[in-house]
Amino acid sequence: MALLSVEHLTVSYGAIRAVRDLSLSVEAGEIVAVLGANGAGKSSTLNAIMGLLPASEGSVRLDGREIHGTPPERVVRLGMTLTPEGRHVFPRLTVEENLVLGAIPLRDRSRAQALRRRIFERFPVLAERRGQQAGTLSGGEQQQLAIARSLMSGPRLLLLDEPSLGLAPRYVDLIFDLILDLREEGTTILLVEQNVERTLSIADRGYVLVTGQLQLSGPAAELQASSGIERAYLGIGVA
Amino acid sequence: MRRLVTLDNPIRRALVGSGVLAVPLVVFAVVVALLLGPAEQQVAINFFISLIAVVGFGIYSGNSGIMTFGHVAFMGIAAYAGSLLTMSPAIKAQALPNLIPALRDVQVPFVPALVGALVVVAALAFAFGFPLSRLSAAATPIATLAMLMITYVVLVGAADITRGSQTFYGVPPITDLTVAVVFALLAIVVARLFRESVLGLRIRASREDELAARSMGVDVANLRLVAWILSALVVGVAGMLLGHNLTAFSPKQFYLTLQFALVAMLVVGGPTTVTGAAGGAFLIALLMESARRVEGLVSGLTLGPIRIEQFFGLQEIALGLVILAVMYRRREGLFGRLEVDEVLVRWWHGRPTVSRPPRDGDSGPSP
Amino acid sequence: MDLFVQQLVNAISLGGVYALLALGLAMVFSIMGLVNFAHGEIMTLGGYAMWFVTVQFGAPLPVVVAASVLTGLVAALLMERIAFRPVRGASVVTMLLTSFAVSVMLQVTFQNVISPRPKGVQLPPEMSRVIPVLGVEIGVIQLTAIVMVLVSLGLIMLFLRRTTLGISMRAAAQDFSVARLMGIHADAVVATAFAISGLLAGVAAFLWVAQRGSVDPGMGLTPIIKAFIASVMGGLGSLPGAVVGGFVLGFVEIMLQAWLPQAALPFKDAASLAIVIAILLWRPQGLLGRAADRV
Repeated sequence: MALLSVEHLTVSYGAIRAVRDLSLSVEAGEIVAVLGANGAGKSSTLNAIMGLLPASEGSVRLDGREIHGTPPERVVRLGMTLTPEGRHVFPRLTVEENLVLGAIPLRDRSRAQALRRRIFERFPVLAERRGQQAGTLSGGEQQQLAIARSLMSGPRLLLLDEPSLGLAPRYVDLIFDLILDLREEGTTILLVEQNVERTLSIADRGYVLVTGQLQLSGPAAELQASSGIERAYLGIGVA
Repeated sequence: MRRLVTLDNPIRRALVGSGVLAVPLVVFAVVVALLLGPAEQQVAINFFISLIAVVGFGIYSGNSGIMTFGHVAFMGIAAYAGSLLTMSPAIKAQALPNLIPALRDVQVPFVPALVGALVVVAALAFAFGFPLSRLSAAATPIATLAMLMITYVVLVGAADITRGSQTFYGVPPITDLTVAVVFALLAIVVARLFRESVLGLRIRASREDELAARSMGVDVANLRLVAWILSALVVGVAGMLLGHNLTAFSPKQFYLTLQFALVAMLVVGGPTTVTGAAGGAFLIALLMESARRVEGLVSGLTLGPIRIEQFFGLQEIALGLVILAVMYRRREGLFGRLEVDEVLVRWWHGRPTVSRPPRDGDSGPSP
Repeated sequence: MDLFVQQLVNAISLGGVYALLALGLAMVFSIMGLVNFAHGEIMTLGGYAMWFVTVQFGAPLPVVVAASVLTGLVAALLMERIAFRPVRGASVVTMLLTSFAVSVMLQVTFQNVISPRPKGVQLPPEMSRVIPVLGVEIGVIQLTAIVMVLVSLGLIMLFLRRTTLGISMRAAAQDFSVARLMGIHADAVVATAFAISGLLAGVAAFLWVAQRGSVDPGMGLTPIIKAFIASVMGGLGSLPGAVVGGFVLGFVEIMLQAWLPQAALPFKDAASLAIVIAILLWRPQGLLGRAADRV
């Protein structure tokens, strides 16, 4: 059984349908990429899976359990969380306070403590700046904080929305290395990215969206070789 | 014929739209004047004055999307300022012994007095509007309330000019049904012309999306100020007419109770259109009059063991319930987001006349 | 010098009441975008609770305080549940009008159910005594007000800084949907915001009624308009801004009271509000507000 399975997902904003009849699945231990041009509906897909967008139809199952319509604050307790696009750390909370909030879904205090220690080891810059307001961090540091905050809930499945967007090259490397590390440790990842080449080089499988519809899907290596992906970005492949 | 119903020219659209709205109003006034007694005529006069005020509110609130809780201040200012100009020097000498002689001895006809009152209103509207138009859309309504409070305190405090909280009396009874109807039609034309004008279009764009409007180069603060002043002037006309209909009044009559009733009219009809403002004024006036009569019936009534000595504020309760019903069920107001002529044009072309769903909820956080 | 200290005490005690009210308003506004006009009626209800327990039971002072504070708490929670939940997530205007209607309907209810006239609230005579502090004569009421205001503000600050729920409140005020991603329950945060605003309104009601000695249906209106304008002056939605705005308004009022000529005293409230509007001309986003930022 797939860890996450999405069937016939449709997301609407008023009369506009941002995502139409999308089906995808993520197996435990995979890195799965969702690719597409700007406005293809990638973020809408993640937000709808997470329950942040109420105006969606279809089925979203986590471990075979239907979670469509479940509010995000409950979904995180089921072991899935989202690091939103544009980081969205709480700017006037300290780094430490941001992390405390990330651990709210955990009942187990000692597990939260252990996770926090691990996170400070993994992100030494956050340990260094733990008392600083999050809004004063650099973009790359904020992205690390945003991911770290998501990890504080100990997710089995992490949805990452454009984690490398707008970052300096050395932070981009850091983020992609981090994603691989997380997979090694057993976290499953559903990744939305603009950086197609690097994403396909670390992903197992990918889905390509064009104007809200599934255009292509398959193993990352095949997608890398196919010409469909460029067409999807250039918008030629639209039926 | 076909050209007329497309109404691409904004001025023609405004005039035709006003005309379409004017027909039922004039018919209503004629029916009241010919068939009903003085009590009903007085109710109708109140309705037309309210209509002017609400249409005036709408020029600011409807176009900018910012609710006002202070415009009644301009009614009060116009009522007092205008009355001081139309009253006879003899009455002023008696009622206001401390009035400065220059103001005591002056007496002019209604229209010049109205102009004088509107000059005062415009000056104050600018003085308040300049800082207010620079506030955020959420902070402005609060500041308008502060403005009303300031005005009220000043009207009560300036006893030499206003007789303070005592009744100000001796204002000539000039406002009759004809005067009220004529000014109501004028107010509708002014409001529609502004709505359809380039300025009106820009400020409505800022209502839908302030950031987008700014990025297109719309000077939102100054546009709001223009709408604010025009709106204050139209509301000032309503105040002038009310003063010359009541002939005796006190600052309390230009405070929260009236403000609440007028806001209810605007909201119930739908603040974004002149049609909505007029329709809301009519429905709420009807409701208030019914509530007033019921209040009279209920007071002194004995219901089993309970004797209702006097029942207060049924009108306010009714207004509150109507506002809640509209907020819970139909936020764009009963008349929606289309003017009556726009509805007719759509109907003519066989297009759906139902307005698009409200874009509510995108300006606030959505838990 | 003595006079100055006395005025300072007056300013802090009056400004403190505004600060409590403004903080409650800002709390609710920052969480759900509601400018709550009916906040004044929560305060009025607290006043009626004081009247009820003193007239009916001759309750001692601590019970009177508890009655006011608990009534504020319960009234705020009920108001959220009954009146404001249907409009949650709606635009600022929709919520504003809803609270406006609730406010007026409550006032009319007070008029009909209790009385349109003021009800006297007798507090123990010690409350109106004057005691020397550091060589200056200071009223017990003012002193009580300062202590209660500082304790309330201190407790709120501890709550917001030290508890997970408090940190969640601040997070939700900054970004509600991301806060939900942290597993923060929307209902819990909104209810907590109302609970705090109700508690603070209850404390404010006690101090206000203790000062005036009576409660009437429209009692909440004036302080609430001032608290509103104080929160706008501080920066609408900013919690520290609301507190600062409240104290600044208190200072302005007391200074006007002290130094305005006799003939100008009727215009005191108009002058203080006009000064606030002038401050907004200088800083439209408020003293501690940020441009294009709600929190």
